[in-house]
Amino acid sequence: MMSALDTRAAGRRSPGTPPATHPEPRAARRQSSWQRFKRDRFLLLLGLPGVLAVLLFHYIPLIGDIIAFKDYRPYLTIWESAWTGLSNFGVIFNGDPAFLNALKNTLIISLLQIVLVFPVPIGLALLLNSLLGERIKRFVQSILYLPHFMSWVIVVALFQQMLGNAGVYNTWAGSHGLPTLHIIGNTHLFYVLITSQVIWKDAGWSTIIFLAAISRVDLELLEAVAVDGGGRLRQLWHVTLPAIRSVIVLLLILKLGDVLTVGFEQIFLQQAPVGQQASEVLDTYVYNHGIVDGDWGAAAAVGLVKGLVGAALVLTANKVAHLFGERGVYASW
Amino acid sequence: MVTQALPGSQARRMQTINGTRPPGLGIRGLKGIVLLICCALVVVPFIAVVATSLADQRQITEAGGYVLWPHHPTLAAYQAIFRGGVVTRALLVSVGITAVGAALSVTVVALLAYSLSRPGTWGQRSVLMLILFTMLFNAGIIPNYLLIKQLGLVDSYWSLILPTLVSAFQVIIMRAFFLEVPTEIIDAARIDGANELQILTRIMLPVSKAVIAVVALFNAVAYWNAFFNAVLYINSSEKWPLQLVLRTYVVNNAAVGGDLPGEVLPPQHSLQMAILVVSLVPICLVYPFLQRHFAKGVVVGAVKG
Amino acid sequence: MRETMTRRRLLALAGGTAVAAGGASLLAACGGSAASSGSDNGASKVTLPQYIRSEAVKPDVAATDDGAMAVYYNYPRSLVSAVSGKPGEGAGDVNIFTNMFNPVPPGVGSNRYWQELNSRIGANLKVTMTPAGDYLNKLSTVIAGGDLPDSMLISASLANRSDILVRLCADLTEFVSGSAIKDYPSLANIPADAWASTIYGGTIRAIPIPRAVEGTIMFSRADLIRQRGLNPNPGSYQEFVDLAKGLTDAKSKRWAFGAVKGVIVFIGSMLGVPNSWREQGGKFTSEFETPERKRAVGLAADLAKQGLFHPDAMSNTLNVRDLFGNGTIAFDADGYAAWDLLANTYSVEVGGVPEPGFDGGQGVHRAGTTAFAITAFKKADKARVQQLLRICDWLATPLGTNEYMFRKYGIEGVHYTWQNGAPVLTKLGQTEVQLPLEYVIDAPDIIGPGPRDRVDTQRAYQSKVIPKVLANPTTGLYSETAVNKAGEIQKIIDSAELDIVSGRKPLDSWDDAVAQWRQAGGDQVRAEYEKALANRPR
Repeated sequence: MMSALDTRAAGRRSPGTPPATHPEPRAARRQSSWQRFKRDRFLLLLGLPGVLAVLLFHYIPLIGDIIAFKDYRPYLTIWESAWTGLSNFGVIFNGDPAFLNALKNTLIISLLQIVLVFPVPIGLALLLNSLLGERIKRFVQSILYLPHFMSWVIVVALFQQMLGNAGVYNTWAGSHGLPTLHIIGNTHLFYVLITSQVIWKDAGWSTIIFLAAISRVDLELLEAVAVDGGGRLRQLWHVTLPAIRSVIVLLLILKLGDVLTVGFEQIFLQQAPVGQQASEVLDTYVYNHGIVDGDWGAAAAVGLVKGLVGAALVLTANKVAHLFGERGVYASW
Repeated sequence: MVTQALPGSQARRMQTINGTRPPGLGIRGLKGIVLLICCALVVVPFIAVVATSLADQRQITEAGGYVLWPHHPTLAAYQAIFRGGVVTRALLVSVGITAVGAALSVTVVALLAYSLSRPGTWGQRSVLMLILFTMLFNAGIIPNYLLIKQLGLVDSYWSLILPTLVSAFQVIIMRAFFLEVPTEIIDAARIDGANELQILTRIMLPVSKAVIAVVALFNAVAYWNAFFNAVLYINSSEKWPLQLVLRTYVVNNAAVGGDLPGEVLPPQHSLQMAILVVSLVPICLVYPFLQRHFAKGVVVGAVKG
Repeated sequence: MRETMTRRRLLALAGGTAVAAGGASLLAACGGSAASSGSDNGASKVTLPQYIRSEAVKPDVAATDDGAMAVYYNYPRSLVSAVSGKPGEGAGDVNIFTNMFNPVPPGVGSNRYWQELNSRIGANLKVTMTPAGDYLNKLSTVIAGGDLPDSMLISASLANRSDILVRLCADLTEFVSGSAIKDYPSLANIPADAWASTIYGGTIRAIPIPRAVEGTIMFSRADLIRQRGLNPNPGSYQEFVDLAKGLTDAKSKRWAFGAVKGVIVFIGSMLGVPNSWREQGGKFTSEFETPERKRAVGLAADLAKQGLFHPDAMSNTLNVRDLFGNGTIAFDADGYAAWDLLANTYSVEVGGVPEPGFDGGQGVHRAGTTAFAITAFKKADKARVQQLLRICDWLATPLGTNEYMFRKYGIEGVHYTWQNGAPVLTKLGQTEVQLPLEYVIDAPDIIGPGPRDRVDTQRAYQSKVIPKVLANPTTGLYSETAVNKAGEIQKIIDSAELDIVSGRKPLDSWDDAVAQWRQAGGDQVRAEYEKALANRPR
């Protein structure tokens, strides 16, 4: 029964598996570049406004990143500023123990975000999806996405007021003889605090994309599982999850590009109670070491390095995804 | 609700799927409890925000910040922020920028994603890379400003719309959804003589309502929340979007810049919360309209059914 | 003379000509002339603008030369006009960049106050306001873009300040130096030590937004102290600790302190810690390098251990003013301008605690920064610069003038009404009169007008701290590194203080932090100050 189901699912090429190789691309390869250009001209025309916008508003300013190799002074033009070779990169490659500590914290927090934060909206989306009442589902979802719209300044203040050492909970617990919680200002719990704040703020919002993916689940397949006597778990495992797998993989790959970037504002606002040893991450390190004072060249240098690392991770992850039969961000055709 | 909106055959199908083995009471209870806790975690602080916006200064002072329930509810904070018309004006500006920006963005992103979603088109991989890299490399604020200045867009609303027109993330996501639309349908349409634009508008978009809604929402929220470009590009305060006006209430009082002894910052906690609530209202109004497209089963079933 | 440099002496030397006082090189340099020290090393002299105290209205207690603010008990009701005619007649559009701390006012099209301002000045002031937290980014991009506004606020933390001012901004020396300032009587009312921060490359490049020498005050809840029968004016460190202990009662959510920095500085002032730097024979010692400063950090850590700090004090995110207002904390170290704000907002009785000596006697009181920031003009022809100076002169008119009343309160009957002898903003006034003109230029701060008992308290406090004011000997000296690295090296110290006071690290980690501070820029700052000092004409 099981195998019958699997065959059926596979035969239907459920969303999520890469499409069977279509004859067109192979034929396309045999055509010359010019022929293909001519063939696709209308399609290309559709994409043109977007490409132009990207070139104009992303790539032209990116030329300005050459200040990573210059001693840029705002009162001179970018061209007039003196070349300084790689000295701006010193802020990263100086072997400063504080930098290495910041890198360590960044990677740990990033890892926590991938392992703990990333799956939460998926689970939440599946949970919401399994609700029977459409009204309840929408209502709950509408509530959960609200925190996304609060700025970090307010979120941090709220957490402080609720969970601080003299906050609502501890005051209440203290007056009722319950154990108090030392959360804010506890160096050991800093990662946990940061991670749970991110979950609180964005988990509900992030369900949206997974709900959209779930909305594509093939009803026939669900029906088939149901007819075969499969319960809801079976439906989930054999139909729903495979259907959103490609979106999960895609988002995970893109997330890797941000590994070196963890919420600057969120962490910056909360460094004081736990100290820099526990809380310094790459972005705050850079900020605290000069960028705060308008060192544009160093800022550009750091951005370039982070971009290169991100690019390497994304491209590698994409390759790995291909090995597992996933499409990833782009296919290697 | 949506079940009614579905064609009869699908409604029956949903019943089969949902009805075969109703989940046990234990499972349902567990789900209920989990969601209840999730909601409570969100709702309690949110009530604090609303309550604080309605509380009087004395109670806020006594509580030292947020209050959980206003003892003497007052709309004074709301009256104060709407006085003088600054917030009203900024609301209109934000609504305009959001509407125009989101509409343009969705259009451009959909066109681009579609042109990148047909297998084997000319230059597809290079363009995809080009777009992917914009997620990884960002220019600094000065080169961006110089470009806006060269284009003559300083102090123009377009400076708040055009630079963020195409989001690589959205293009990639939308393309991923487009790629999952069965090729047979498109091929069939092509054989019937449909051109690319027709395929996009008559086949792709109708079956991709969910992702279109998601991208529209992402764009709307991004335009709605953006303030930093306005800081850099807009000189006349009449053209400020709501979030920048909000910032003059919130951030100036926060510990971000901090070290300015002697500069007098009036305490205005209730104002901050009131303007936060005001900034949430339009999003809350628009959301349900987009949310209905995330409903399950509408899309693929509609095509195949 | 030790490092205590009073403002009286400083100002006595700033009478108009560069007097060289033998032996007192620092003072002479500070007050009378200053050499460039940033980009060029020319030892050219510049004479600071003459300080001519405004006589528009006679205050109840006059400002003194050593930096005491003038005191007014009441608002003068018969106003004089400080400026005849319209100062900006024919200036057309005047673009002004500045920062703001208040909610943004309505635009000029729907702001009667702004329209009236333009008509009184005779020009079209186009004020570009930026929230203070974002201003530096805005200013930097505009400078990079190359099209400067006519007038711009130069933040104290703008990197490469000297180069930017010298290369891009108008040289004001010929218009304001020495007795030339007489053409702008309200600008002449700005004390000379504020002007010291406007000198770059041996020229005056900006006008200063003056701040009083009182700087930061340790505010106390005088009412709570009285209720508990405690001594509001501790005479030594021990008495201060006793006072703090008497005000702390964790069970009923009451603590003495809500933030760390102010307490360390306050204890440091009891121990005689230098104001940022100490100068001796041309050599500078940082306050952080003194054993007294280290001891102050250690003592603050002791106080924290004794539970005198609010449990969340280390978070730096507490809304300290609200907590002070509701009695959760009893002390708040804040700028002098906060006195009226705290008293008015929370309707509580606010006191100021002067620094006692550690073992009795007198401590020192750190002089505040002499200027909030400076305002510079775009390079332009002579007539245009003079026009801008005239407008700024109008914007700097002091209390008692028509111009001042309009600037601060708008139009009588529309934006404010008189109640019990004080102007009270109407609702329209509260929204429209928010244009941040005080961050373009302003008259020197004053005490009052206000409730008589409060003004008396403020006046008494001032008379206690002014004699023991300790100036920062680098005032008027320029160090590029000090500006460009200010945030970075300050952060090292701030984190070390928090680490120690919160008990995460031992007091001895202070030495490592100071070594790190020196390496990260502290030593370079010292070298630049020493060089700047040596280059000063004697």
